[in-house]
Amino acid sequence: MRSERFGELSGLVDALRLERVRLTTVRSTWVIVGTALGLGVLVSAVIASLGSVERDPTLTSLVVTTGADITPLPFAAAMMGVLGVLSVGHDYRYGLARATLLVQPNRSALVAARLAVLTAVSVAVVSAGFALNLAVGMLLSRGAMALNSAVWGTFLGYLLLTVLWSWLGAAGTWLLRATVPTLTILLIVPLLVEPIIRMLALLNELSWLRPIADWLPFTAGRAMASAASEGPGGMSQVTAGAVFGGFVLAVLIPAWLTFRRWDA
Amino acid sequence: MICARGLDKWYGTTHAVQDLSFDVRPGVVTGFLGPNGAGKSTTLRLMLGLDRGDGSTLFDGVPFPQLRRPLRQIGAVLEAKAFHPTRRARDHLRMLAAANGLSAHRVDAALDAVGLTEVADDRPGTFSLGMSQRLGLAAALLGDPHTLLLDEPANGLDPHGIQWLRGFLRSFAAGGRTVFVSSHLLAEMALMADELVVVGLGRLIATGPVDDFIGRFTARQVVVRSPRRAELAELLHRSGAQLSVEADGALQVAGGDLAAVGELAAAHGLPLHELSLRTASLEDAFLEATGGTVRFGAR
Repeated sequence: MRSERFGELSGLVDALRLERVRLTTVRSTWVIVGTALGLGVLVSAVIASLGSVERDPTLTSLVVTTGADITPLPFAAAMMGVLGVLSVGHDYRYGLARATLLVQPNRSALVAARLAVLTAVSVAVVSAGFALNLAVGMLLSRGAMALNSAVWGTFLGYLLLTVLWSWLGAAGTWLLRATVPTLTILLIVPLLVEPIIRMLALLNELSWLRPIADWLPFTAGRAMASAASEGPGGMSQVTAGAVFGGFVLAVLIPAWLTFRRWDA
Repeated sequence: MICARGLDKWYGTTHAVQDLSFDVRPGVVTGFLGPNGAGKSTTLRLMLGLDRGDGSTLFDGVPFPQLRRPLRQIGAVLEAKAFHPTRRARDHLRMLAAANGLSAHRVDAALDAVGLTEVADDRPGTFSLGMSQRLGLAAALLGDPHTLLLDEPANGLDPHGIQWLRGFLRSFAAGGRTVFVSSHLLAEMALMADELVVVGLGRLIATGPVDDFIGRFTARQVVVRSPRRAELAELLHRSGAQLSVEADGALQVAGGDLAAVGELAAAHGLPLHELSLRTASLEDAFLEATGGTVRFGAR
């Protein structure tokens, strides 16, 4: 029993080593990370330049999260979602899934290791983005940057949101085994489908949509990084985290089961 | 030693592999033959636990999915171009090596073994099929395994590459290790393999030494040439031999015994200009053995 557990643990460590080398040795990873940081700084600079001379925690939250609260697509989170899609999509596209299973047959360890490495990259990107955006904000906002517990709370929500997006990208691709459809769904639902449902729910004729519109997963995701006490959809950060986290788990569990049973 | 028992796989209503059992011995190269759609690749995937199906395959007593660091025991190549086109060849191997706790030194050794050291830092998207095959083989050799499973490794290799592969696999097996290799190149397989596993429509057709397979599925012929052909033909006919005459006048004795034909001629004082045994090729035997099991064929 003990040796079995040791075997599983060392299988996970080996899978982590594989995933680390896998993700860091393709150009697309660095392009995505660079884009997330570079464009993030640009957007934050624009937001910061609108600031007042007074210390403003709400503005600070917007700057460090690249305006996650006011944009339909949280920027770093979406980029990490794309990274999740590509990291799994490349496996299917280039026949690497089979090559990987020939060196590490423990499929659950591979899934866990992939999610762990995506988590590490997401945390690194959001943390680096926080530092860069804050520095740019301090330079451009004429002293409006203010760090308090609310800002830290927003930042943590944004961090968790980004990690969940990266998992969602990977899980969706395990489920569909294709890059383009997963990317399309991942972008179109938050950008088009959910806003349309929310708009339609405002019509009296479609009032039955309102309970659904209140619990839309990507809208809830945005509320996780909201500087206001109630984010889009009127949810608290914790409730929003539970809704979006539950949604990601609802995709991830069947994706993991599908990958375990997949004929490679 | 590989022991495959009762391998069985359905794809919808197609019975791709049917109760397939065979052994692959160490110390020899075992070829895996079958027409297109015979189930060779599916069988290899079942053996390696990549596909779900019935039956079991033990590699020195252990199923593949239970191997903690499989590269150290089994090297397998199922497709030539299983790599990201922009990840450098060395990084591709480094990634696979990392999953089995193998050092960078093993990566260099594997690249050297397949002759890819010079292009180790190139992106394999630009590699020819032959170079891709070599990169796949390098991946299989990373852990210095005792067993190799290769699916069509000679595809895309030039004549020098094929000769190199043949020599490599034969010396690998000569060291007491196990080699199981599928190929469509029958002439190459005849030179490379010592033993065969032949399948058709997912079923086992034959297993055993190459010579036995050829002997079982083709008739050997004695070719005899004499200036007194008519007399010799009469004698052979009377002895019950099945005769035919070749275009150049030589007599063919189907299934004949070389010594018996020679003794018969000598006993009657007939001079012979040629007395030889003509054996069929592996291709002849393969076509005969698998003729009724071709799933995809032109009319």
